[in-house]
Amino acid sequence: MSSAPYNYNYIFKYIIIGDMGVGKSCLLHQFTEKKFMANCPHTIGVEFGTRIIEVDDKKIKLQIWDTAGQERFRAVTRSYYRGAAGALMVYDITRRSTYNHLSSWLTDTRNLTNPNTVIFLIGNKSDLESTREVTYEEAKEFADENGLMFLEASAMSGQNVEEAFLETARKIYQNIQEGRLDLNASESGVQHRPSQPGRTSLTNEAPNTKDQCSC
Amino acid sequence: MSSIESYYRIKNFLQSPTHCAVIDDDLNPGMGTGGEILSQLNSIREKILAKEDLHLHNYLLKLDIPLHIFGIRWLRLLFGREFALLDLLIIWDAIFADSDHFNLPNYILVAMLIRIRDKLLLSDQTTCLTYLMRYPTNVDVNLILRHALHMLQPKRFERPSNAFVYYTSNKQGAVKGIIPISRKASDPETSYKSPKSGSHSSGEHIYRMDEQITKLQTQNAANSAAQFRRDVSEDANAVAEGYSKNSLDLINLELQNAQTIISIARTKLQSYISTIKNNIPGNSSKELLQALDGIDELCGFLDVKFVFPIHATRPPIDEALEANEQVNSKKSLWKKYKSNDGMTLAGVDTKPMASHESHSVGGKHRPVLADTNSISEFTINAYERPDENVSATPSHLLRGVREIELLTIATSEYVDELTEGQPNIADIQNVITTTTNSGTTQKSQFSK
Repeated sequence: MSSAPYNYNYIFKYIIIGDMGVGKSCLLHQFTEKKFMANCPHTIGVEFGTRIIEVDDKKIKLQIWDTAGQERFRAVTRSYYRGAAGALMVYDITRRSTYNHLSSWLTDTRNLTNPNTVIFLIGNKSDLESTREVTYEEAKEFADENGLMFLEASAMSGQNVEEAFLETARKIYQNIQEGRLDLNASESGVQHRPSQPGRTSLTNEAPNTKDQCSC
Repeated sequence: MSSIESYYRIKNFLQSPTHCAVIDDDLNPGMGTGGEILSQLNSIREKILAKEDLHLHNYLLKLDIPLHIFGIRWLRLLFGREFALLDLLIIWDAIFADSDHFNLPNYILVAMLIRIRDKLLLSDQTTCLTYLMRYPTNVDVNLILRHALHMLQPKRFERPSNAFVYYTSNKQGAVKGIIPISRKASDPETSYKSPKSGSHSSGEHIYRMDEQITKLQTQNAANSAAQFRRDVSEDANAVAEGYSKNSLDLINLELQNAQTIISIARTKLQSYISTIKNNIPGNSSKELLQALDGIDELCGFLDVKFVFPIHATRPPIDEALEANEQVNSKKSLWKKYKSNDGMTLAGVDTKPMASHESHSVGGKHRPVLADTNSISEFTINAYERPDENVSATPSHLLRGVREIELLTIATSEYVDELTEGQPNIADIQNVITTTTNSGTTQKSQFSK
């Protein structure tokens, strides 16, 4: 298996988190299929999507986990945080409650991922300007305070969707270049293209950087 | 019903998102955090999957794919998103008709995994996950059910013969790739048979699986890259009527068939054209004649040697030569005619056929064509053997049919020409002798 020609240089693992109904699955669908999915069914547990992008002439395979936003799945989805290189935290600009919950999502993310995980805040549904409840400035301030990247996007129109995913990848790639990510650690959420036979990075046990990510 | 409750029961249901992180970090991973369904999925993996398909079990462990990634959705929705509605009704019928223990879904889950084991075992982690998160739609739901029922009650339900997608090499060993047993293969066994002595020891399975493991791993490297692409079309490896779909023999057969059809179409077209030309009034408009010439030209393009240039052994220069066929008792004679001036591949071909005997040739229409100053030296007889240059592989499936059709056309045609004596035919150049029943289809000899 490992000697097969790989068409990518890295795998980055992303997770998408946020309250129910903010449009996480639609963002993923818009990014992977370039289509808006109306009548998106509830995510049960977790969904999954991939796409290969290019950063600095390097092919990067994004492995994106789209978690269920429903509270009842919270415990289950928590196990997917492990080893995420990027976390897209989504709220709905037309529902303030989804914005208010960001701090708890952020706590989760910080606790369950490694310190170098890139967290990107997305204010979704930016096409619904008329019913907006959260201003751009307010969210921007929140993002700056917590050191998050931030964009308002629309899974419906596709605006800023690519940008959010690509910016995250660029940041992760930059972290790799600057040596802040240990590619051999399974916690990093980044896998290099396997080079030796019989080796897959996920099973390659490296010393855990964080003990609490035991799941 | 009690067991199915556990799919939905969550032990530490949390009211407020603010507390959850704190609470859960203290709990055991896997157990408790996701409710009972996680422990149930673990037991499915350890008790059922490991017993039924140890190789797949180990492979999923190796790739670090726990069952709960997809299993939660499978079980909680009772496979509602994995199957189309009509298939789903079958599944649900079976589940609710089974028993109060409600164990069947667990076995269906394993049967579903085993059903796509060939895909999973050949895939890397990401591809595996894609298969599991988007379960293939073309699986045979009845087979899954029968297999699940067998695993649940081996004494009562017979094992479906094609429950496992084994990798077998072709009988003739001609195809080097691996061919999974066709999943549409009809299963003669009925599932509800009287109890039968359980003859399938799991040890035998494991032994066979071990064999497969080594085999697969060697083939894996070579195949995986191609496999990703091929998997998109699910049936790429299917076996149809004794031929694997990508088999060279089958492709040759199809090619020969296509060539036959093209040749026949060309022949008929030519005969129709000549019929029209013989009957159009002398003062027809120029456009009409040009249109006819255009059709003639198209006939030229239908030449097998144009359409399948790779298979043409002769250089294209020879295109001015045309073949005709005569049948001896055992041989077909293919005669080639060349046009008088031989200058043009304008290839205006006339082909009288039996139906055309009554039409007068020459006289009336010839001056007309000369008037138009077009490619009127159209006496090339463009009939050619369709399979002249095709691979010599015998195609017993099609051969009989093709020979009959061609012989009919060719014979009548040849007779036509002999009796009518086309004015512009200069000389017979080639006689190609074909032994129809031998594997090699043609040899040519020249007689002047």
